[in-house]
Amino acid sequence: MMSARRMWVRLQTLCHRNRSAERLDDEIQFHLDQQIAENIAAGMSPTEARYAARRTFGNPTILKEQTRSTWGWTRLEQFGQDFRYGLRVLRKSPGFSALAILSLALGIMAATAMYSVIYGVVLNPFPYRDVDSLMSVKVWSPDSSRYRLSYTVDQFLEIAERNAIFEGTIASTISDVVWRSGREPQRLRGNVCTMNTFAVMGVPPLIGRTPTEADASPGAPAVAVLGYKFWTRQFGGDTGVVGSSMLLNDTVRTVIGVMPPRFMWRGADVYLPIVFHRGEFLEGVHYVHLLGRLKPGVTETQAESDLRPIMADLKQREPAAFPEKWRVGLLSFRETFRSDICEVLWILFGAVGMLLLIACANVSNLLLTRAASRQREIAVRASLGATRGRLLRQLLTESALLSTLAALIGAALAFGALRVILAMVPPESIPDEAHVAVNRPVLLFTFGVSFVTALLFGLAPALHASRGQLVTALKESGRGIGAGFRRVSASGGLVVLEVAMSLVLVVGATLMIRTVMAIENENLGIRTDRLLTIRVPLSSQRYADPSRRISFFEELLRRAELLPGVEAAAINTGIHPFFGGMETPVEMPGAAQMDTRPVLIHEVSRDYTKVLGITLIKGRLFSDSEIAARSRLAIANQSFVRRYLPEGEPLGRIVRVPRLSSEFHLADNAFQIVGVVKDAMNRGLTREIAPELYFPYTITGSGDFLVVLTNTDPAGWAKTVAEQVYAIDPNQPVTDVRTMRSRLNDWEYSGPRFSVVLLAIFASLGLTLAVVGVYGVVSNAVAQRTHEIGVRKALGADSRDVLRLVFRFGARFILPGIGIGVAASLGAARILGSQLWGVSPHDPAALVSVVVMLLTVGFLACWVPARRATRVDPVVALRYE
Amino acid sequence: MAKPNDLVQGTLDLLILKTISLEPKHGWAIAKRIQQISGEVLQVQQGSLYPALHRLEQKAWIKAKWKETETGRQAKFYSLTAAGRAQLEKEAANWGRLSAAINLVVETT
Repeated sequence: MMSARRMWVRLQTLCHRNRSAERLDDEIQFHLDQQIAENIAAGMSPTEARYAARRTFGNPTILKEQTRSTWGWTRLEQFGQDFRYGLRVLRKSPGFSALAILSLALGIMAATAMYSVIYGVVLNPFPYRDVDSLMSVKVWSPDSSRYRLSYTVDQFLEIAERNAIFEGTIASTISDVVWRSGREPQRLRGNVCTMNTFAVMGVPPLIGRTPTEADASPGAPAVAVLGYKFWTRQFGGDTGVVGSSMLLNDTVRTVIGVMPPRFMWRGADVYLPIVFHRGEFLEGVHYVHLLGRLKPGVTETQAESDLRPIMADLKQREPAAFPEKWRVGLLSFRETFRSDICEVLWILFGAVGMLLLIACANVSNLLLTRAASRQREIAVRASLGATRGRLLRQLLTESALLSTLAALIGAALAFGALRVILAMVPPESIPDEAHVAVNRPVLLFTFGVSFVTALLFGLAPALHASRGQLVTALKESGRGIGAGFRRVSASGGLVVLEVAMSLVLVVGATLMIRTVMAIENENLGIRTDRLLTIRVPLSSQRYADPSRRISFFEELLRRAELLPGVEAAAINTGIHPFFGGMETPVEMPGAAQMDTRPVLIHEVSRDYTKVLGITLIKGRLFSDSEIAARSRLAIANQSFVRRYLPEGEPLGRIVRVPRLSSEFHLADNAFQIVGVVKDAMNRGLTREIAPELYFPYTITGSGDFLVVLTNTDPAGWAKTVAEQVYAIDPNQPVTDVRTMRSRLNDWEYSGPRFSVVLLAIFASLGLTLAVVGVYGVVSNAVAQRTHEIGVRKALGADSRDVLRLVFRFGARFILPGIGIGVAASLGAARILGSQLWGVSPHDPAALVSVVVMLLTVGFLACWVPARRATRVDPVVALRYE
Repeated sequence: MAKPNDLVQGTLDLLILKTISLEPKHGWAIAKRIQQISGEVLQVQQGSLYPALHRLEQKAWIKAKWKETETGRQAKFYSLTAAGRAQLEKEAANWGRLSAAINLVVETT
């Protein structure tokens, strides 16, 4: 350890270095003067005395340096020198510096922005305490890829009470909650949850409190906790809201607290903590999601063997609840609530990495080129005694300076870039809790990246430049016949890399573009214009009885059809091409064995197929009286007929839906097929059309989507249609008032567009940088070989020969670059494969067009310097010597 | 890089510390003193004193002060600090042991 005094002395020397240096001069001068005086006194002549004094003293310059080095700040001083010198070098060639900094800044900007998203969405999306010990319980059947994470209230209570593996077990829901205050009722996204929710998640409230034991005691007043976004949106962040009451689902609840911004458990506006009891459906909750906090040290095997007997009992009590062959296990929180775009994000991050590498290669190249013009400077330094290490340090300081400046600019640009990216993120594809911003960890990453890039692009040129070949370098007066061949090959390698990587990026972008085109050109089987969709989530308390629901929708349809701008209106459980209703296996009487694959069940009103534009190809539609009579009739789509009735007449056949009996207690579950309609997309745009059946909506009354065909712009009718709902029931909120076009945009097109736009941006940046790289190397080579070209011309070469010479030179790295790039993109396409649709990862058209494009731009980049080469005047070139 | 003087570094430190232990001296005087006392045997290259002086100063064994000499010029006078005095004692003792040991070896063979 350094003593305090020593520290002080050192700091003093640091602060007063310049003054100390002067004083050192004085000190040594005094010494010499003393010696000279003594020598004169001893009888020497003044001149002789001076020389003698010098002799006994030694070389003052070296001694001064040695003395200064004892001050111990040499490293820092040298760094300071290098830094200042580096700045001067950058200022001296502003064009070079701007180009280098800009290329790097673009790369760093893209990397920073993408890393912000990755960090916020994938690495650190959840604000809960020790997320890794939070687990869902999943039950699945070995012959299906689907699993369940939700349980009935009774099942939940059984698991929660009997398990020995969880410290705490919580139930949660995504529920429609009606909030009544003022004129229009509002539908809120509610989370009906257990009282212990907040304690188990381990997040304290922002203001107020979370539920306690007292709130769980029988007869305690009902409470509510608000989510931050809802609180700021609705109450403007007024802390006075704590203690006030809200009428939620017809219950008065006291607001006891507000959760912090990122606490968005199930994306709720409002949390309704309740005590669940067996056999009760409080707040209309039948199914809950179960989440437990695993006790420390519990292994997956232990958890499974603990849960198995509980599940076995549940299965015995309710045989239909679980599949025939079932297994139980844990699913981590991160997996349960994984973002849909994780994969895309990593792919884009990889693309950004390549972009950054291209930028590095480019800057490396620029530095190599510049090293040529600095060869003499460096040789002079070396001959004056600079060691190789010292030269390397100086050159790397310059690189670090470049990359730091680029990082500052890149980070600043990233704020803007991130906003662009976030504006394109498909809705509901990232966890509600995720907070994506350029924050401290992201900036740390940025500066880490800039440090690594400085080494990446700086090391090779620095090693190259500091390789001492003093004599040649000093002798060569920058004329350079044959000079730079070695250098050209070094930078040629970099350009090959750039071309190859940009090709991979462009191929990726092209494949994504083809995917988006394929999706957007898809024949949906429905019309997409003039459609307005509205969801009317009838409260399960006030509309518990199906007949009340049915008469509500009957009235709504009647009113909607009377509106002047409405051509037709219809009800369904979920709307093409998305769906979201019931999927269940059906039975064909007389079939050899039961087909367990699911069929989609639509429950529609009379005009549904007409509104959507789905053509009837056989039989007939339902009549009003059949719908009113809840007749057991069905309309099938072509896929249904193909799978279940491949031969014979489909009309008149009977199909049974067992689930309608088990879940909706229908005594008669046999439906007669009366019509067949054309296939329409029914599980999103990228999945195969599934067999489906249309039933009258009066069968269960669970349809709550209203779709309206207007005769003008559908968006304009939103308010009028919503008012029809309020006219029937002023307390009934509506949600998702959207045109079909905007639904398609959000749910189907925005995902692929997100990746395509970003990939296209990264690819075009990469390509531009690569073209700059090709241009740089070729034009540099032409400049260096002016003399050679002059000689060739003098010996009779014409412009064509010169052009050929330059193009052949360019081809030396464009062609291998393309070759490597094609091979690499065949490999990379497999990673991209999961994101592609309607196009093969090895799509030859994409590959060929990209190769042609790269050849074109590559040779265009050669053409400019090649033209310059043809204009070389042999006389000038030779005289130049 | 070769050291410019033949003296072992530690030895030069000892000589400097010893020389200024009685009274503060400037660099030239230190060099003179070492030469005189050793009967011109120890030829210190005068300049090499300065890196040593500055190093000792950084170690806080000696401290320096600019003062006027008898001739009226400004000179840098070095004197021992408490730590330097302790160091001097330690090094002198070391030197004593070392030289005694070498003597022993030289004389007995």
